[in-house]
Formats: sequence, structure tokens, C-alpha cells
Amino acid sequence: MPSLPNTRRRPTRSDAPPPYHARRDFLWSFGGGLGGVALASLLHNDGLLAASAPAGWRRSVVVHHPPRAARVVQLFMSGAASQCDLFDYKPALEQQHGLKFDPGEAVELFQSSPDKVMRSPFAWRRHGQCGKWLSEPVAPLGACVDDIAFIHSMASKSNVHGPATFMQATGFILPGFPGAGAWVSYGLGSMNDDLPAFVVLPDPRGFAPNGPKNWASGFLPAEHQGTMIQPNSSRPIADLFPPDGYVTPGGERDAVAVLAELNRRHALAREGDSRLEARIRSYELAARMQLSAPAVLDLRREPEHILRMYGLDRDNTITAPTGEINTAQEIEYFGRNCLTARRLLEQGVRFVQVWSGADNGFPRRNWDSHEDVQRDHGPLGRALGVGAAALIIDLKQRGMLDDTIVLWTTEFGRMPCNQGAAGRDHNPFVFTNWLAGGGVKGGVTYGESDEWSYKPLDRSQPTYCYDVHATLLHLLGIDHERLTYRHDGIDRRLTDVHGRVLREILA
Amino acid sequence: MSRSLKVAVRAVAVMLSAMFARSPAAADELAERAAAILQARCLECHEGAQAEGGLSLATREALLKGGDSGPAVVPGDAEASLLVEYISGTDPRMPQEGEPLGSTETEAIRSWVAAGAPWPEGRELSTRLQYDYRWWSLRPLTLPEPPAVESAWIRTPIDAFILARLNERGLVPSPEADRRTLIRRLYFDLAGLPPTPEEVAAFVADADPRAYDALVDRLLASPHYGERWGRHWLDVAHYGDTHGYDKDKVRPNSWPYRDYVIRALNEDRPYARFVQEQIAGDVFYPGTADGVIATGFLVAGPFDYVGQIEVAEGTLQKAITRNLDRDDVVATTLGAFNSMTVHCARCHDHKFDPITQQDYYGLQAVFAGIDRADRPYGGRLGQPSGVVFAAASDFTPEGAFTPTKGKPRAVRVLKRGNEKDPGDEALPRACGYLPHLAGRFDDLPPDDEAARRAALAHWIVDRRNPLTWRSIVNRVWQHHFGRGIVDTPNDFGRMGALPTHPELLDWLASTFRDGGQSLKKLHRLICTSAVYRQSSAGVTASEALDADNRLLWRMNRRRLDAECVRDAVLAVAGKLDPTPGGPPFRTFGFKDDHSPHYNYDQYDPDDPATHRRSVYRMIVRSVPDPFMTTFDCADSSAVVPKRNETVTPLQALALMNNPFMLRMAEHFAARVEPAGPSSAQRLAAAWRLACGRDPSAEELAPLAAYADKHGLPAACRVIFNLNEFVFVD
Repeated sequence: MPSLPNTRRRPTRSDAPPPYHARRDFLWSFGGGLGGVALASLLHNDGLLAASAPAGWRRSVVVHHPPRAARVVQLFMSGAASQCDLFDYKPALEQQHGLKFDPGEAVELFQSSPDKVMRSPFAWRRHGQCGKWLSEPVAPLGACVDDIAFIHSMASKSNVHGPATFMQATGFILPGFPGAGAWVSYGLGSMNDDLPAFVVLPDPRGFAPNGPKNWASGFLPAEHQGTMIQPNSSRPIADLFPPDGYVTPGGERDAVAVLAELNRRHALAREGDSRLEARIRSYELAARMQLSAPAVLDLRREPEHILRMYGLDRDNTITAPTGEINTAQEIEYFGRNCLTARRLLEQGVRFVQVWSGADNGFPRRNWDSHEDVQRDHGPLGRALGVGAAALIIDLKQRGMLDDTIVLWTTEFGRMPCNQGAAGRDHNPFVFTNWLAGGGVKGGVTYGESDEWSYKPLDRSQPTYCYDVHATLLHLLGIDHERLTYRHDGIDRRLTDVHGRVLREILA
Repeated sequence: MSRSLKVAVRAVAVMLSAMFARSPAAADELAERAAAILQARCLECHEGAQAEGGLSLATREALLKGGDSGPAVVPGDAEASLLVEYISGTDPRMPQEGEPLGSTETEAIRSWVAAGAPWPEGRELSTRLQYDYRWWSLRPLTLPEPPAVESAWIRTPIDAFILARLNERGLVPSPEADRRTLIRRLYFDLAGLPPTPEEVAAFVADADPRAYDALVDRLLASPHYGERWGRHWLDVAHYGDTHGYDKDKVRPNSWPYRDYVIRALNEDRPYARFVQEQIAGDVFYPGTADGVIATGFLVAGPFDYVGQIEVAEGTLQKAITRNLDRDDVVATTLGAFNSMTVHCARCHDHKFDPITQQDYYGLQAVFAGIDRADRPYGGRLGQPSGVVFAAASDFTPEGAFTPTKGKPRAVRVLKRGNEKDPGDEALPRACGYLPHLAGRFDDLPPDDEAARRAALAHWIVDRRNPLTWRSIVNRVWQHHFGRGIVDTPNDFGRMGALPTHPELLDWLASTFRDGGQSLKKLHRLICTSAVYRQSSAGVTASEALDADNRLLWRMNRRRLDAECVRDAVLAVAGKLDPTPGGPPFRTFGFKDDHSPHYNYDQYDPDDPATHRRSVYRMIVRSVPDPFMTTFDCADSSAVVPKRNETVTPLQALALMNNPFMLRMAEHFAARVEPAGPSSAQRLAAAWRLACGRDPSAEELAPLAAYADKHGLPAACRVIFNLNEFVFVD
């Protein structure tokens, strides 16, 4: 197992564990010590770790050309993050503020009728050598814009959250299709024996629309589903350990030994069935996950300056949501997931999906700013700026940005006109995505929106998730037209029958 | 020729043609090359009367005439030709879909135009394939004679078909499995539960030569049969208890359909009736409760609540929602009953099977008068009554979701599946893929949605529709053996698998169709065959010839599916509540909200309501039960004709640590404690319950020693994790 890059603990933590850890399961707090450590010694004694080298997590199988990247971290803003309040600067909104919004055609909105052009409530400033305009909340990303390729001509095929979220997550507006991470897991498999290839970090407050179906394996084998990790839960990974006190360390060690012996006896009498051997091995792999996962999730192993970078310098605890949406808490939630994502990537997880925003909740805890852009996009945007910038800078300083793709997305955009006093309705016609790292050209913009960011400037050339997914797979060494799975009569692809590799943003 | 060989041959052909293109260009070579590129990359949008931009590239005349922007080609002048301009440059305008043309391809078009755009006289390019109506699955059903093979091994006509193929390949069938294996196999296969030790002992000791047949009959008569096999059908119907998508609302009245399926199977309704009830039971059997309830089939899939209820009528979003909603009904129905992938024809004529866009939208028109909504049923004398989520045309409007009152909405053929580009109105019809059974509906009363569904149901159960009968017997075979005679149960088209035993498939289908359409008779026939009774043990010599066991020289060893794992745990722990039917139980904590919360961490495994069979649990589409999903449970958002059967570390963790498993291990321990004072006695009893046999001394000793040290529940937890517990020989 590769050693962790930094295991230095914060000195204040060793003598007085914070309440968060005290609440946690004994096993989780102490690095899987119970089953894990005991198992490790057992497995070593039996020589099983060595024997299990070609592991049950699937290995690399599909590479069509030399890859530029090996890993992906997808940041998914749930609720529809506003392009014209974050990344897509539109002076026309300032100039025409308060005037009737009239793009010269009938505008079909989700909840409201088009009213007046509305300027962004945020100040904008240029950043980096490329001079990219960013709004005030996401200004921390200014330090990274020269590593980022922005796409301002994204379009969706639905203006309803559920189908549109499916589209960005799975490539289809219908349920039942595998998430992008499941496809990558299916195509490339795992890079380690300790953790699944596809890991999902939901917003701690709950799921996005469609829930875990966004990262399901669909028709692909179940091993490719996103494994959900909730770092702030008392049990970050379901069923990783039995409840407290269920078995003693010795009991767990002996149980695994007895089970292995009985299963081996059973398999010996049924020679030639590789599934029986695979199942015996699956318990060894489970044990490795027990060992490794708690260590990866233990942020106390991070030095002070790294924690500070991710905005986790106040106190290394998760606080319960308070009534008002507020910047400090948003930074803590998103920052924790970003840092956890980096640690997972470092341990060889292939695809990490980080969610910002939960479907439920009034007061609102997502990007669906129908009522008040400033109220929601302010705190959420600042958390995004801090967390995403930290992630990119951190990956870069570890030399990992070269082969890690950071993909920022949301299900659609928001209208340049007002809804009510200070909100914006859904805009499926145009929104923003951006990518960084892993073979992506930095400091560029591909695809423009029109003067309001109502539709793509070239209406005949919208960019779809198909193109982004095709590009993602291309960078991973996969031809998106050739990564297929036969299901119900169709050779299914992540990109359906579409997709163009966006060569304009390749380094 | 195998598919991969075809691909290879095509690749070589492309290479060769590329090489020739560089040689001094003969006119016909240039023409061939250009035609190939136009056909592969352009014609999908630029063909015929409905071509994009009014431009068809199918004939030379059409090229010269051009489209909205003028002639596509000026022969001899590449620079003046729009076609060349549109495909050239760093950011070419065409093709809009997929990668730009490569430089070799662009150059080939340019040279062809420069050479005067030569074109063979009268040639018309087409993306439409020459459909093969003689494809095996579309041919009329036959009744082949069972092969004349002599063998004492043969018990049924099925065995003759199987043995003939084995003989051809020099394979030898396996001997019959022992009785303990057979009873465990039959129990899980037909009832989805393990046999009790008493049942095993009685069967093993039964000297009656008809004991096996009697066991099959007993299991088929058990109410658990419907629970087990109903679940297989619910996978195909993609049944769920919530709507899916965001705001994944509970669908409180879907369960009567689930109970209908179980009831219909237990009563062994003739298959034609089973089909008719589910498509148009309200038309065929008016006044019956089941006539309404059964149409729950049509609407069992997901429902885009926001798109249907909140989005206004007349908007593009509404049109998209409706199109996809009907697509789900059409795809589910034809996939389930005819094993055809008609949904491939939503955006273009089917590329492989004889299904046109007209056919497809005609099928949408069949269902254009119904929606997914609650509907009252029964109430007449002696009939049960209630409300069921079913096909409905008259219901209380909610939001922007208004009923049709039985007058179908107009369905138009959508060019390239695009709601923004509607073409002619589609007339209700079935498919034209059967040369011996017309797919048109003549003399349908106008605006009568019920008549349309009835007509489709008639067409499906027509004895001349070979797909219907082949499809169902193949499904039954698949669940008995783990693999169908056709390995793609929902795709009998050209992209599907070929039958391993086509004559057997036809013999089964004809026998089934003409012998009362009794599923139970079919089960009996299969289960009493010698092929079914074989041992599952491997044989090195046979593995060398047929490693996948496609020809069935042995029985397939199966991993229990998700429901069987959970039900077997409950049964073995002594906690299974066999009460059938009714509203579903919840394996999660529930809190209603903007989007309801389904929290599986809050599940109390000791809640007795949840100790019923898994087929009765509440299936949440957006947040499926993680324990079940880990064991490859069907995704209720998608039609699942065949489940995966994986073995993963997450399964190991679930069986070792899931609170349900641990609590059941404790109940299991309490159940076997009275078996005797020693751990060995208790664990021998536990082993008999879990595996249907006595443990050997070598097996018992380490387990008993473990129990002595760490307690009986911990040892019972080990038993739940045995390979033998989750596999059936």
C-alpha cells in the first residue's frame, strides 16, 4: 500500500479529540484498528495479500490511445448554478438592467414569464494572465484561471432538474443509465486494491435530484456503481464495519479465518468455478478496504496549512446546519469534500464526484436561486471558489494536476432576466462548464454565449455534455464511440450517438 | 460470418479503398469513395423528403438541385461547391453530429467534385437497410419433431433436443444431482426459499419413484411460486413504488398491480389472457377488478412528476416529457411481449430490424389516450375494490396534468426524434415486422383509445405472432437455467443473440401456445427433464469443448439473487412472515418533504412488518435499497430482462456487517440454541437450516470452536457468509 503523503497530526488533536470524532464509531476513529489491523496481520501471515495481487476490482482494460489523464474529479453544482453570476461576465446585463428582456423571440421559462434584464448582484474582476472575468464569490479561483478551460456554450435538453441532472451525470435525460464515473470504472477499472474505482461525496445535507440514481451503475455490473462516502456521518461508508461492540478484534479475525477455511473446502469440491474463488478473494479485498478507507478519510492527518487552504482552519469539526445559509458553513462543507476527494485520488480512486447542494430544504441549500441569487450564490459561490481553488492548487503542488481532470458542472444555467425581485429562472439554453488539469489547455474559453448569456452566440453550435464526456474519455485514453455495453438491443455509450472531442481545449 | 470478423473485413476494405484513393483516380473509384462517405456521415440527416435544410444527398440530381442554401455540388469546381466548403476548415459546419471528417475523407470529396462528381447511372444512396424479414425470430412458429436419439438419460422431449446437440459436439450429459441438491435447487427456483431440514429429510427418504414429480407439483401449487416468478416479471415491467426523477413521490397505489402479477401466476392464467389483461384488461374484461389493475403494467415505470404536473401544456418541455413517457410504455410493452427493440426507431428507422419510424410512432399512438394515474377498480358484487395506479384516461386533474377522457392526443412522427420537428400524424398500428401478420389496424373507430390498445393486444396474442410465444418460453427457460435459449431475452432482433437450440425453442413455444398456455405446465416440463436434473459439477473434458456450458452438459450453479438472499436469511433465522400481498413494507426511515427522504440507516431490522418476503418491500426508484442493489437487484428505473450476477467486495461487507444481517444472525442463534447443549449440536442444526445438509466433521469442528470462543451469534454470522449459503448447485 502506498504510504500517505503526510501523517502528521495536528498537535491539539492528539490529547483532546473533538466531539465529532468522539461521536464517531470506534473503528472509524482509529483507522479501522479493530478488524482491519488484525486482518492485515492475518492476511500477511497467510500470504494472502501477496496472492490476491490480481484483485477483484476490475483492472485496466480499455485504452484506445495514450492517455493524458488517469483520474477525474467532478464538481457537480446541484440546482443549476448561474453562469452570469459566476464565470460568464456579461456587461450587457449592467447596461440593460431593468429594461424589458427581449431576445427577439418567444421565451419559454420553467416557472415564470420573462421580465426585465437583471444584472448580477456581484462585482466582477479580471484574473490571471488570461484576464478571465470572475465574480466576487468565486474570486479565489482567480489563482487558477490560467489552468482552466471554460465552456460558455453548454446546453441541456431539459429544463427540469431531474432529467437535466441525469443528463449531466449519465448522458441521458431518462433514468436507468450508468453515471460517467461508472463508465470510467467499467472502462479503466481501479488503480488500487483498497478502494472502489468510483467514489461519490454527496452534499452532507442530502442528495441532489434523482438521489443515488445519478451515480448508479445502470445496466453495467454493480461493482461500477459509485460508492457513497459521507465523511461527516458516523458511518462514512455503509456496512464497512459491524456496529460497535458486535465482535471483538479477535472474533473478527477468527471469523474471517474460519469463513475462508470453510469456503475453500466448498470450492475445492467444486473445481473450475472461478466465482467461488472470486468470492473468497472478495473478503480479502473487503478487509483491505477496512484498513485503508478510514485512514484516507481521517483529515487529522493533514497539516495545518493544508486544512487552512481548504477553509477548514476554524475547527476540524462539522457543525449542524444553522437556519441561515452562511459562508463559513458552506466553505466547511464543500472544503471537506474537496480535501477528501484529493486524498481519495491520491490513493488511486479513479473517479471522484463531489456534490454541492441538496435537493431539499427551505431555506434553500442549493444553487436553484429562483428567489434570491445573492443569498444563495454568495455563500455557495464563495465555498466553491475556496474549495475548488484549494483542490486545483493542492493537486498541482503534488504534481497530480498533470494527470487529474477537474470538471466543474451543473445541470443547466439561469436566465439573464429576473424572476421575482432578485431571483432567476432555469436556463437550459446556455450554461457554463469548466475543466482543468489532465491534458486540458489552461487560460482559454471555448464557446461563447450571446450578449445576455441567454443562448449560445452561435445557436447552431451548442456544446452538450456529450462533447464534454467525449473529451473526458479522450483524455483518459478512451475513444467514446468504442466504449460500449450491449443492453436491450443497443450498444450503449456514455455519449449516446453524439459527442465531439473538444480539441480546442486540449493542451 | 461472426460480427468481429465482419468488422475486421470492413476495416481492411476501408484501408484498401484509402490506398486506392491515392492511386491515379479512376472515376468510379472516386464515386465509390464519395458515396461511402456521404452514406456514412451525411445521409442520416440528408436523405429523402424530410432531409435537413431541404438537402438530400441521396442521388446526383438531388446533389445538383441542392437545398435551402443552393446546389450542394458544382461539378468540376470544388471551391464553388457548398458541400466542400461545409465540411472543410478547422471548425467545419458539417457534419453536426460526431467528429469532423478526417483530412483523407475531405480530400476524397474534394477530388470527386473536382473530377466532375461522377456518379453511377441511376444510383440512389440510402441509409435504410435491406430489412431481412426471414430473420429467425420473425419466421412462423414450427413444431419440430424431437430428434430421434436413443438414450436412457432422456426423460422428456426437451432432453432429446439437448442430447442431440451434445452428441454433435462430442459432449456427454452430466449425471443426475443427488436428492439434497435437487430439492434445494427446486425450492429456490420455484419458491425462492430454502427447504426446511424436515422437507429435505422427507424427500431424501422418499422411496416413491414419483417423489420428484410430486415435489415439483407441490412447489408449483405453493403461493410462494407466484411470489418468486412474479418478481421475474416485475423486472421486465420495471415495477416501482415511487415515481422516480426528482421529487421522487411515493406511488401508494401501485401494489395492487404487483399482487395481480403474483395472483395471475399462482392461478396459472393462460398467457394470452395475462397479456390482454395487462395491455387492455379494461376493454377485454370490463367490470372485473383485474381488468383495471393489470393495466398497471403499462404505467409501472418512472413518471416525471415535475414535467407532467408542473410544466404547462403547450410548451416544448411538455412535448418532450410526453414523448419520453409514451416511449417508456411502447418500449416496455413490445420488449416484454415481443422481445423487440422498437424504441430504437424513435429517432430513425431501426438500423437492424424491420421497424420504421412510422411503426414506432404508430405504437405511441396506440397509447396516446392513457396516462399514469390512480384509477378505481372493482366494487361490483363479489369483487374487491380499491384504487390502483394504472393506465387511466379519466382522473382528477392535478396541476398541468389533464386527462384525455378517452380521446387520444395527436401523435406526430418526430423527425430525428426531435420534438421541435414534428411531421405527419401517426396512425395507431402495430409493427410491420411480421411477414405473415399485418401490423395495420383497419376499421378502428376514430378517437377511441381503448380500441387501439385492444387491437394491439389482439395482434400480440395472435397465434401467428411467433415472437410472443418464443419470447415467453425463452424467459421461463432463462430463469430455470440462468441463461435463455436466446441469451438476449428482450432482443430477438439482429443485434441480439442467436438461439442455441432453435428447434427446441420452437417446440417449446408451439407446445406452450397450443397446449393451454399454462406456465405451470411449462415449468413442470422443464423441471422434470433430465437436463434440469443434472449435476452442476464441472467436467474437465466438457469444459474444454464448451466452457460456458451453452449446450447444457451440466446444470448451471447460480448465485442467489437479492430477494433470495434476503428471504433465505429471514427463513433460516426463523423470522420469515409468509403473509402475502398488500401495501409494501419499508426498509428505510421515511420523511415527506419537497423531495421525500428515504433513509436506509434508520431501518430497524426487528420491525416485524419487514419480515415479509422481499417482493413486498417498497421499491424506491431514486434511492434504491443499497443492500439489495449490491446484490444486483433490478433497477426499477430500467427494464431488466436479465440481472447481473456479480461477486464483489461490497457484497462481502454487506453480508458481514449490514445491521439486518447481524440482527438475523442473533435470531438464527436463538433458533438453534435448543438443538442441544453443545455448540457442535447447535451449529449442526444451523448448517442444516442454511445449507440443507449435515456438516462434515471437518466443517463443524472449526465452527464449533469459533462459537465456543466468540459466541453462537457470531458463528451464525459466519454461516450466512458461506459460499454454500449464497450459491445453489
